[in-house]
Amino acid sequence: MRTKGPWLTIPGWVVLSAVGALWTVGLLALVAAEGQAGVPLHVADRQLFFIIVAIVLAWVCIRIGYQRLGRWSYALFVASLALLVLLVLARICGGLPLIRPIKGAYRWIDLGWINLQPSEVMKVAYLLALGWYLKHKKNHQTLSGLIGPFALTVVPMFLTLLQPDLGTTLLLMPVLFLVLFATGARLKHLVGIVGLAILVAPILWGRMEEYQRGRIVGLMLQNESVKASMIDEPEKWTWLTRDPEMTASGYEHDDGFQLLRSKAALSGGGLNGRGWKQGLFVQYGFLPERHNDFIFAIIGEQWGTVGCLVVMLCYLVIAVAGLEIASSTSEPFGKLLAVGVVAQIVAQVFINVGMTMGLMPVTGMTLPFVSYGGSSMFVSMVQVALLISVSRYRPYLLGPRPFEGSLLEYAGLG
Amino acid sequence: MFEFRLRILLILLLAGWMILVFRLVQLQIVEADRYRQQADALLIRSQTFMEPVRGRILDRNGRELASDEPCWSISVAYGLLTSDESYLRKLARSIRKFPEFQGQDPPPIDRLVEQLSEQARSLRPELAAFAHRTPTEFEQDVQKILDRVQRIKRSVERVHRREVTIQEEIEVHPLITNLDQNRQIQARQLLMSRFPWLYRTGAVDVVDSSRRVYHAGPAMAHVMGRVAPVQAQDVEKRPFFADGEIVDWGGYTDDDVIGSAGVEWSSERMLRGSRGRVVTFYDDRPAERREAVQGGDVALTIDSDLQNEIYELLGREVGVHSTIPGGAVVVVDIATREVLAMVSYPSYDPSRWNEQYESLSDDTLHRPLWFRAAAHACAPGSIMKPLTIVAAQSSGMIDESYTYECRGSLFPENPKEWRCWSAAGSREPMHHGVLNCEEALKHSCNVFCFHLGDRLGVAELCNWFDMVGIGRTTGIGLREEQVGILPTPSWLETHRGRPASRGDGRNYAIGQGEVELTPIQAVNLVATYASGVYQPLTLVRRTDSTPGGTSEVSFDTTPSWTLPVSPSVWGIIRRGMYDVVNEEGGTARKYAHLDHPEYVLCGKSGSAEVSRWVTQYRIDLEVEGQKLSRTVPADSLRMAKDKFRAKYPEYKDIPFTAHPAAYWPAHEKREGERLDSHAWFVAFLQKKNSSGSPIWTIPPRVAIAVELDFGESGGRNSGPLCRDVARLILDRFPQYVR
Repeated sequence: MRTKGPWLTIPGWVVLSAVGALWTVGLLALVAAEGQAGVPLHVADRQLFFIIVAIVLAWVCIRIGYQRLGRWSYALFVASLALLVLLVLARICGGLPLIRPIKGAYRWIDLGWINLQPSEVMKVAYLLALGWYLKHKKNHQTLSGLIGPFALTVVPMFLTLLQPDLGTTLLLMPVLFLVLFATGARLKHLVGIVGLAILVAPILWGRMEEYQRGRIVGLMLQNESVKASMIDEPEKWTWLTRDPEMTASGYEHDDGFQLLRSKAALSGGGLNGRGWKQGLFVQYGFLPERHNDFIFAIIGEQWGTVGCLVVMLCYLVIAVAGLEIASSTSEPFGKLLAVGVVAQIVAQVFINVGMTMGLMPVTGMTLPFVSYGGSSMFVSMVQVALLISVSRYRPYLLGPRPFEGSLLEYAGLG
Repeated sequence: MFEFRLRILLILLLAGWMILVFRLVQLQIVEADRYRQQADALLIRSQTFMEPVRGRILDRNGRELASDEPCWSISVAYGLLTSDESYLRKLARSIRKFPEFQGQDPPPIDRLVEQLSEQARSLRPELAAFAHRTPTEFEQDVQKILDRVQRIKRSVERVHRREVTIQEEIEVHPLITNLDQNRQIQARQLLMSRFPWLYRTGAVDVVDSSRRVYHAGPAMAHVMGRVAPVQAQDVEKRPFFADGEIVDWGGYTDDDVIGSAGVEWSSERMLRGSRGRVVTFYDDRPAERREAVQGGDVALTIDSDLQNEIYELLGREVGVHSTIPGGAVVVVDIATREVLAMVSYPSYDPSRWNEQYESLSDDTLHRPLWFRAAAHACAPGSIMKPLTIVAAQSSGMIDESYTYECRGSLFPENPKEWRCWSAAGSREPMHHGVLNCEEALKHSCNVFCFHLGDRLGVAELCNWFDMVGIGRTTGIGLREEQVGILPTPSWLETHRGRPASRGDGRNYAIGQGEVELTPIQAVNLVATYASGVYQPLTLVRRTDSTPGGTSEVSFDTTPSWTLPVSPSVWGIIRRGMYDVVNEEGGTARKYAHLDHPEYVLCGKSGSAEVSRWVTQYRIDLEVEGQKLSRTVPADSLRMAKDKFRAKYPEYKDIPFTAHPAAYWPAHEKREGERLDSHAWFVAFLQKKNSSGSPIWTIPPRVAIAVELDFGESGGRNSGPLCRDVARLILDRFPQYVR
């Protein structure tokens, strides 16, 4: 009943163009920073290598096809869970072969040529499993029907939280929420999930490490009046942090360390930026992880508001094209998968860019296609491959469905 | 349904995107400046201040009298002295960034903090040993720093009304000071080998500083003065920091020194200079560099060679008379009123001030810390008589041919009172007979002057005292300077509680009674006699105009003026002063006559009647049934009580009694005997022609004033000294006479 379309549909081309633009910006930023204080040599070369591997990986995924991947999804999910459990075990034992803590976190498995990050693999496995689970279900309209998808989310969440990896933990919930929303789950159930999340929050808060809480406190301390209050009336804030006075007075050197610097880097760029390879934060080691999690800050410093808007526009284009793909296929698993991929990329961008600008807590979240790192690049490209794969499966129609117009239609302007 | 929900997702997506765009615009465009300032503050890792080199003090020939020389001190961070946990953490964090930990996992912070606090504990005993001090003494020094910082912190917090971190809590504080080149290298080796982490993080550091070195000896000590640690009020008056901001680069912080006496004090603004600062960014890149500005050099009008020679002469004179505890000699250039020498004896070694201070200040007999030349105000005695005659002549009361008969006393019917002075060895007063003004000076006749003073009255005499600068600073600008006493009728009302009497006029006319002047005023008086002009004196000849110091000397001075006296009247008193020293029968002919082919000395002796001062008090008290007594040097009972309270806080609540324990002069006055007077001799050098008479048309160049404490009357001791000084100038320093 179905036919394979051309290798790349129009939305596919659009997504790939945007990704290509992001690669370019990311590589330019890495070239500017590489070898400078705090950034290893050859990050740009290695990133280029990762991109090539990622393209091959994407090609393989498209060849396999998302349907077949969907059939393997549970197996993939369980395998990923096993890896996550392995990391938790490593943390309990204080290290296993191939698993060594980096900055106190058990997040990576050292395979020699690459540091495999199971939570990244889990991102893909989770999307596939969630879509596969929900594709024929009608019961997600009921509350009990939500238990399944919920369990699917909470188990990996807790395992990643134990690594600890706050970023990935925070990523799964919005994805679940958006996918459920798209499948037509009842709003009151979704509100219920939010309510449940709020109920769970204090437990999570209690489970969190002091430094993780500090990230959120750091967010609040951007406000001068909150800061003054924490110094003047520390007894009011003891629920938030152990020693509010010290937290607030040491803000600049502890919780606000990266945040203040990333904001300063952005504002240093101004409207037009300081130019390629220019700027304090690009050249000097003031901002840790500026080639990685905080790459958006040095993009902002070098190319200003203009450059930032271009980057953000690229993600908007990917998201809109992804939704177009979701809309244009009638195959339910494909629809859910496309929405999931969009939700995940968008959530990741929001968390990363938001943290750079002081809107989100500082977590180890990469900026897809731009931040330096193999795992992140591979996973993001696999996600894009899934999108393209979905876009290639078309219901048998007389002709290709026109792309034009539908975008406007979705935007509510049609 | 699905399409609808996708549409809502799209709207949500656009909304979220707009939020990010708004925040971006806010950060990068709207509030960019604010965040950039925060960034600048964050990125600055340290600021180092560079202390200015204090300007030199030179004599009039450019000889270096005082200068700053480099030295080093071991300074310790406040946080290390208090073993503050958060400070140690900060250190630990920077230790983790050391190159040896690059590329591997650095040791955990907690373990580093533990090791650091161990090092901090062993640091103090090792530093104490290095400084050759007992641990107790050393801990006292540490405590002083802690107390001071806490005091400042409290006062700052009172202003801000919340807890604040002050600059002093971040800085290092000098603990061991005055290390020379060798010692500083030893110190660095000790720190590097025993406390490498503390040293490399800068928590303990060997800091450059400088110390004041005085190249000149005791002769110059009073004039040069001293530097001392700043007082709270100095910092208040010209602060470096105010509310955490730098307000004045030439201002003071609590670690600074400031001129506290002599020219060091009076020329502080020129000598001071201003601080520099190096601000470095987080990655050691320099952010700002402001060089310290060296203070300007100050050149005195004093010739230090002349000063030294006179100090020798004065010392010899004082040395041969056990009853004379000290004295002063001042020499000025009459035309420019530059002070060529300003000597007080005894003095002290300026480079050993600190160690000798106790014994110097306890010597209430010789009073070596007393800057007699500027501060010893006493009655002028007969050196005032020329002014009395000038006043009487110029006010039209008498004319130039005026004569008056001295019959031994003003009222021959009552010969015990208002008597003329007695010749040496005789108890009978002189009967000078009929005298004109010139002869009255030559014989220094009291009765002649009593009569004039009687007719002139206190108010008119004080007018003339005022005109020659009594009761006013001379313009040398020293804080030690006393202004003497100008006993006007209103002054007498206020200070003596009585109206001016005729007797006061008679007394003031011969320079006795309440009227007082200092040696520096006396030398200006004789310069006025010699020139007819009152002019303020100058002690600082020039200052180098550097950006750090002000280019001009501006002390609070009065302008100069010509006295309303006709040249012929000046001629009378100058001739009179010539007669005193050179004519047969002149009172100082045998003491002060100068035998020189080109110059004659014209002068006048004087004796200041004195009363005895209490200089030390004995404090008696009973502590736990045991009688104790302590002696405190003090000029007054109140001062003695204050000093005792300050010096012995342990007897705070115990009642005590105070009794005079020592006097100045020390020797007891015997029944009926008068205390020896302070001896004056003032003179100027006048050019003479080949036949030996002075050429009055050539203005004299040099004026000299000599004062000897309890030096007896009539110029017996002061006259020869003045002559010796004159001869010294003529022989060795002729440039000042020609």
